[in-house]
Order: sequence, then structure tokens, then C-alpha cells
Amino acid sequence: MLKWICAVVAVVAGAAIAYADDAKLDANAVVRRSQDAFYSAGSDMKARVSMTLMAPGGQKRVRELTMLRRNEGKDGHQKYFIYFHQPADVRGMTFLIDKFADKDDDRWLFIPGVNLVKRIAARDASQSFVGSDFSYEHVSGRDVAADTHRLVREEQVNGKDCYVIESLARQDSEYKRKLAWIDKASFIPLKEEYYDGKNELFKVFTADEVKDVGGIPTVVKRTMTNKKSGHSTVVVFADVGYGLGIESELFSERYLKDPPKKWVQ
Amino acid sequence: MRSPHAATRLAVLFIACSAARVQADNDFHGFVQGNYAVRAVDAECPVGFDCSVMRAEERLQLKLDLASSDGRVGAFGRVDFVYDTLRREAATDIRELSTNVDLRWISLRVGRQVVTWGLGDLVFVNDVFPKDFVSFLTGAPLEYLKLGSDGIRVGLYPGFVNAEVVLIPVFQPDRVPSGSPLFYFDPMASVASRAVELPPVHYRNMQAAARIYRSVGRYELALYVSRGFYGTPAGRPDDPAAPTQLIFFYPRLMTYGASLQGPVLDGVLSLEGAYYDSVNDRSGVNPAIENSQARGLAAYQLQPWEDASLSVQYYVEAMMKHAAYVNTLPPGFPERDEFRHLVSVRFRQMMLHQTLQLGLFALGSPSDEDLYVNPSIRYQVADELWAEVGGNIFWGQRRSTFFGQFEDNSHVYGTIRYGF
Repeated sequence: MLKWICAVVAVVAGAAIAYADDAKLDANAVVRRSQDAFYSAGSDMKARVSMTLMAPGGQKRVRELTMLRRNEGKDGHQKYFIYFHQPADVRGMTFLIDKFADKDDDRWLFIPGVNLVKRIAARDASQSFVGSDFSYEHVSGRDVAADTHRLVREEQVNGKDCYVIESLARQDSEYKRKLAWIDKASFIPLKEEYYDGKNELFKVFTADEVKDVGGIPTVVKRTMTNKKSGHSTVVVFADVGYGLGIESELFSERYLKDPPKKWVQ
Repeated sequence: MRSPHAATRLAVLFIACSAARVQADNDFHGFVQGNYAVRAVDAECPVGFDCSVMRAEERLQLKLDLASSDGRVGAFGRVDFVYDTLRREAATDIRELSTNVDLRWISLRVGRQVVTWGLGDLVFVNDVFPKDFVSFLTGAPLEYLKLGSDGIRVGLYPGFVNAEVVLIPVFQPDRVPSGSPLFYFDPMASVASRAVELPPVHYRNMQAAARIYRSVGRYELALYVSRGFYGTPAGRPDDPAAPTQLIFFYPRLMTYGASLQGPVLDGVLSLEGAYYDSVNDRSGVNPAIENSQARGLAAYQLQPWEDASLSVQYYVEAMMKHAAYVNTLPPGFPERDEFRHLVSVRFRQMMLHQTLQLGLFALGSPSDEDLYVNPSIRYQVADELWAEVGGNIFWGQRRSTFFGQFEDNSHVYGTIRYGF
């Protein structure tokens, strides 16, 4: 009798573990597909990005930049070229990010006044991008393996069916826990909630407008709100294009100093 | 105002001719700036001259960036219109004015342009291009430390290795202190009469510099060579026994160097070295001319926490013929050490969504026992407007060392800039 009980327990436990594994695998696959859809769509991408930083008191600051991205292979290696149009103080500055999935970025900044390309130490991808509520990770993605993902439920956001994925940070991060509502059809995150070490909500991301650009669903308006400080950043993408044939030579010291007009206007 | 040389005049002509034909996509910007500095120490001003205010100027910069629609041909100009309230003088300062052609494997830029090479932070190893130490010593924004060079820059990009060649037909010296309101060490102060001898305009006196660079994995390697003159002058008395005049001249200089930069642990490591071949005094027996030198630099930069950066730098220069220098040094002249060591720390913290920036830079020499400290606060009042206050503080155990001589020039500065 005891043998039977043991056998039944073993089978049930095994099935439960297998089910849990499946769920875990699914969550990882969803996050991977979401990262691909949100940060790596197309072989390359160009956009004119306008970031409006809004202080709780109502003061607005605007950052305008051209962002060029090129995927360098399947292992998550990407290159970003950023040209600043606004504010006046940083106009003409260019910024090059060599992004790797599993190690720190390499970053270079070109300062036009002294014609100097400066390499910048970058340890922390969770730090703010140009003072906004978005971090570097929000701009270029985060290693899927840096978190433990779990599918917690399925529900609708703005009438769209979504997976709700909980991600617990395994590596250094600004958050301890994140909930993401990922559109089942496009794999675009429509909403994200970030919780700190005290499990208090501190940041909320929303994809406010998603457009089809050449068959690729693209978030052309997004907002990140810091619930603790009341500060928020609205980002609008204009003139978005994919698969434009951005040359690999562009991501070099030469073009940091002399940004090609055909890409950065 | 420096008068434009031939290359720059050529660029002006080209811009004038082509501006009408160049398609739109043009970029016209600039800024208005007020920049003031007040001496922070009691100094013995010349009789009848109040030297407490070191800088009071307003400046309008106009910047024009023209490009053809395919981006292959362009022109760039940055011109400052300055009103010096202290001297009640207006001046035009052409910071940059050049025209360029960009093709796939080669680029060419002709005219006045700023060239910056090397990895040092306010320490120059392979950057032999002209500098404006007067602006630096009187509280101007740091970008005014670099002067444009009138010349030709050719870029070559075959891919496996890239190169830059700079040709400067007419020698342009650094701008160094030469009288009120700046104090500096003058070993022959009793000789009042001064003259300057610039290298004659001749193709043999053309400055040439080249840099070859490539990436090796995540590291960047560069080799440098240059041929020209020391940017700061040497002083030669007309008669060593009974001098009546001091003649400033620019000895020949050849440099050979290399640099390497890349990630190490959580930061960026920079290494740079150069050999300064003092062509006119290789044996080191002429005390007026710099000894040949070996220069080396090691720096490490990291982000200790969000919106902060910290870098430390060590620099050494070694005189190659120190014994000969000591033997020929005239009596009464302060003797320099064979090795000069410099250590610097730069810390920057940004706050309030990167609109407030606190900075501290300290550069000192344990061997010379002198120090330069630059604390600063900059606030971005609005997108178009920033204001900065800071200090340039110099201190030295002796007035004959590099920073020690500037002790009485220590000042507090303020800059306000509206960009458009």
C-alpha cells in the first residue's frame, strides 16, 4: 500500500515539476520574443526620438535625438548611434553604444567643442538615460537571463490579450520585481510595473500608441512615470524605418566626429 | 583676432561660392554667453591698475553647418563676436571655419579646425596642437583651451586600420601668459626688452602629424608621430653675460607615441606614452631649450554609482639628459627634477535628472609640490540656458613650478550661456 502511495506521490510531484518547468519555459520564451519584438525588430532601425521630461511642478525639458540601431548577430550584440539635436547645449554631440547581451556596454561620447571622442565607463545599464525616467536598459533591452520569469496570469490591456509575466531580478537592477503585460499577438509590452526592494510600486511604463511600420508593430509613443517622485518622461518616435541598410562603418570614431547627414537630419 | 591664413581664406571663398548651391538641411545655431572671473587671492597689481577682475566678456557665437544633400561636401564655421568689458574692446574670433569632402575611404577637411588627440585629462602627451593657456588661466569654459589649427586634415579609412594626417603650413604657437593681468614665473624678469622669433613660413617648417588607429577586440590602439615645434617658447638672452633683450623662440620637436584604451574590470583603462625628441638640443647642453623627454600616462575611469563618474590619472615625464641640463643651468635658475610626476582625480556627480552637475578636478605634482584644483557647479536652468560657477585654484611650494607660478592667478569664475 505504502508503495502505491509513494508511486502516486512521485507521479503527481513529477507532473507538478514538469508543469512548473513548462510554465517557466513559456515565460522565458515570451520574454525573449518580447525583447526581440521591442528592441531588435528588423536588421536595423532609425527613428527621430523626442523625449519630454516632466517635473511634478510642470516644468518640461525636451531632448531630441536621432537613434540608429544595427543588429550585429543573433547573440544580442547591437550597436546604437545617437545624435543629439536638442537641447542647444548638447547639439552635435554623438553617442555610440556597443551593446552586448552578457557583458557591460562599450560607450563613446563625442564632444564637438573640443573635437574629442571620449570613452565612457559604463557599469550600470539601469541608470538613467540622459536624465529621463528611462534607463539604458529601457532603450536597448536587458539580458533575458538577468531575471527569473514566471507567467502569472493572462488578462486584457486596452482590449488586447496579454501574458502577464513576473520577472524577479537575479542581477543588479533598479527593480526587484517587474510585472509586464505582453501583447499575445505582437509581443510588445503594453504596460510594465516596477517594484523596489520594499515591493513598492515605483515606476510604470505604458505603450501609449503602437503603429504598424512596414509590417513591424512599433511603439511610437510611450511613457515612464516615477510613482514616487511624480516625474515622468514621454517618448515619441517619428520617421521610424527598418531594414534601411545602415552601414556597419557608421558605428565608428570617424562618423562620431562627422555624423553623416543622410542619417542624422 | 588672428588673421586667417591661406587655407582658411580658401575655405571662406569655397563656402561663399557653394552656399547658394548647397541644398537645404543647413544648420544655423549658436549661443550668447557672459563669462566673468575675479581673482580670489590678494595679488600685487601693477601700480594704477586694478587687476582683481580677470575676465569680463560677453560673447555671441554663430555656428553654421552646411552640407550637400548626399553629405559628401560640407562646410562648418564657428565664429565668436566678443566684447571685452575690461579693455572695452570688440573682437571677432574665428574658432573654426573649414570645408570638407567625405568619400567612403577618404575624407578631407581644409581650413581652421580643432584637432584633439590622446587620452590625457588636461595632460597632453600626443596632443601637439595649439592651446590657449590664457583662456584657461582666466576662467573661460574648458573648450576654449583648444585653439583651431589652420591646415588640412586627411582621413584614410581602408578598414583594417584607419589614419589621420594633419598638415599645418604655418606654425601656430600656444597662447601663453605674457603680462597683466596674469602672474607667471619669469626667471629673467630684470630683462625688460622682449622679442619673439616665429619659425619662418617655409615648407620645411610645415607642421605634420599622423595618427594610425584600429580596434583590437574591445581595445583601441593608436600610434602617433609629429614633426613641428614646441608650442611654448624658449627664452634666449641676446648676450648671456650681459643680457639686454630676451628672445623667445620655438625649438624644433619631433614626437613618437602610442596609446591603448579599453575595458578593465568595471572601468576603462587608458595608457599613453610618447618620446619628445628635442631636435635642437639632443645633447641637453642648451639650458634654454627643453630636454628630450619620455612621457607616460595611465588613467582609470569608472562609475561608482548612478550619474557619477570618477577618474584617476598618473602622468610622468622624464628628462633624457638631466645631467647635461644641470651642468649647463645658469646660476640662480631653479633646477628641475629629472622626473616630474603628476596625479589627478576627477569626480562628477549629476543630480536632478542630470540638470545639476557637481564637479571636482584636482591635478597635482608630488615631485614639484604644486596643485591645481577646479571645483564647479553647473545648473541647466532651462533647455536653452545654463549657468556655472567654479574656481581655478593654483598653489605651489615654489613659484618656479608649473602650477606654483600661477598661484596669484587663482580665481572664481562664472559663466552663463543661452543657446539657440
